[in-house]
Amino acid sequence: MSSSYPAGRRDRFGTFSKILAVGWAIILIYPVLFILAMSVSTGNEANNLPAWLVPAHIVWDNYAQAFSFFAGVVPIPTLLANSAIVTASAIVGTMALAILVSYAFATMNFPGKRLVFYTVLLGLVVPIPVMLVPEFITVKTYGLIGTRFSLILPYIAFGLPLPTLILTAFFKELPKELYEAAAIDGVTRLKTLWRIVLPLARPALATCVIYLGLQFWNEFSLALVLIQNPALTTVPLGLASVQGHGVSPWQLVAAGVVMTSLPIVILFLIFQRQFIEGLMRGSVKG
Amino acid sequence: MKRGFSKAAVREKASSYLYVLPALAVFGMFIAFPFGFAVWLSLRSWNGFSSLSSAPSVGFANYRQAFGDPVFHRALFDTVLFTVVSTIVQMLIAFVLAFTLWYFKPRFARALRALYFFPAVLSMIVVGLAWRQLLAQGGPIDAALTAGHLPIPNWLGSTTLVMWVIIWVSTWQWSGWTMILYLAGMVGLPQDVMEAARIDGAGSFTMMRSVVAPMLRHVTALALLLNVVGGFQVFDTIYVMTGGGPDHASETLGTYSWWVAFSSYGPGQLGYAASIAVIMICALFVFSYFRTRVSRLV
Repeated sequence: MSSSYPAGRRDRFGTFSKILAVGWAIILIYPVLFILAMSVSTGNEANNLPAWLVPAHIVWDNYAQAFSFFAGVVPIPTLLANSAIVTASAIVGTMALAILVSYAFATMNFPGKRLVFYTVLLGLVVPIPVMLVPEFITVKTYGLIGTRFSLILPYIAFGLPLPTLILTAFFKELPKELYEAAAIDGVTRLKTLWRIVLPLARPALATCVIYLGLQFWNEFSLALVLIQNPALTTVPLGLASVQGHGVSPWQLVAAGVVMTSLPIVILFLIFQRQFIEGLMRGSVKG
Repeated sequence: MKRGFSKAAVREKASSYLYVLPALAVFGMFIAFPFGFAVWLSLRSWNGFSSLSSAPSVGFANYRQAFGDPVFHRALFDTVLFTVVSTIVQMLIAFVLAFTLWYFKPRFARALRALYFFPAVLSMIVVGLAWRQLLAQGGPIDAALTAGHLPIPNWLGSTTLVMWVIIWVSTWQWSGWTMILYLAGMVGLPQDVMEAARIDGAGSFTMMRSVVAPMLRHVTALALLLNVVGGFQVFDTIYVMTGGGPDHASETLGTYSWWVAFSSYGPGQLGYAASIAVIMICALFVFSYFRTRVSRLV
């Protein structure tokens, strides 16, 4: 770890916590291994795997079969592309709006500022699952159903509060002289934001992007009601819809789970330090 | 500083609103308006098919229906149970894991940290599917219990057990996220306090309980807020594992309002579903209001 504090002496609680640390690791790995084992089992064995999870026959062909199985619902490449497009657009939209609004909260004074600030933060406590009915009818009224915007715009609205909180805190911490010097030099506020503030804010921006990326990539309940056009199905929705209750070919579902989870898992494995330390930074500030 | 009323100053003030306007517009269109609409709809009877403008006004009938509806009571109870239990258990596990990594610095601490966080990267659908099949009849957990000659519970088919399974799956997935919050707090702790406690002969448990935990009270407050708000949002895990069943035994407010409005087995009462949404959002507003009041007192 990054702190230089010397390692604590081990005593009885030390032993206990060491056992907990290893035990929790095993508890976390087991279901992951289970999915991997299912994805290479025969159809029969996928429903009857032994406790040690090693299948009697390894069937790599499941991965090829899963492709055609999913193609009957929504093809896997389409699922991944849809999720990537929605996630990327929603991140760009949320960040653009959050940056502007946080910059205003941190550096400007105008009547109604506190009211606007708390209004945006209210979004933090509005639970998405109970909003599904009104959200669906609203989006339908706007005529967005059947387009990608039906998902992207609500994502931006529900995504806004946390980045706003993090960025407002960050912009406030920058030295006041920075803004004043720019103003004296006649640099407009928008240019100051773009040329001076944002380059300094890169770590905070990264934290927000990681947080939003995870949230949007994995979002399910809004997608469930707002996506009425199967061609626009995102990954979580696609996975939930291929598992018919009871009779699904689980080895193929598992292979599909592995393939659709791969992009985010690989990203995490490569950037795990940036992921975790970015979120740690955000939580101290926020 | 002189208060400027020059044209330039006024124009600058006015242009400030341009920075907040886009965010406010999106918020207004996709959160405030739907909420207002939910309030309006909660006073009507509407099946989703007839024209909305002709939906008859029914006064507070939907709210009365909620207070007399045993499934609503069950969903409310389960939501609170889920939120309270999963919040407490998750925070305990997260705190001890964070303390272990930070205080004892085991080998592979960084790899363990990544592993503990890993489930938070997966979608709740994937995690729900994995656990559903792990606990299915003839699955590996069954096999292990059979080998140990232990009784095999019907994990997801038992009305008394199912909610606890859901709580477990959520704890499995999100403890690592809460751990990150605690780790972030621990890295910033003043080291002289710890040194003093150690010279006084504090063991590691005392250190955790009486030195570290009190200094991280602000992290606990943040984690509590995030977990409670998150707990009320539980939906995906239940949708994919049980669909709210058996017999509504794992129904929460989110899944129940979805079922009432959209499920092909449900009654298709959108007005009633809206009243459930309004009740829940009001409850959360009251909670967050009192929480901020309380934290200001502390």
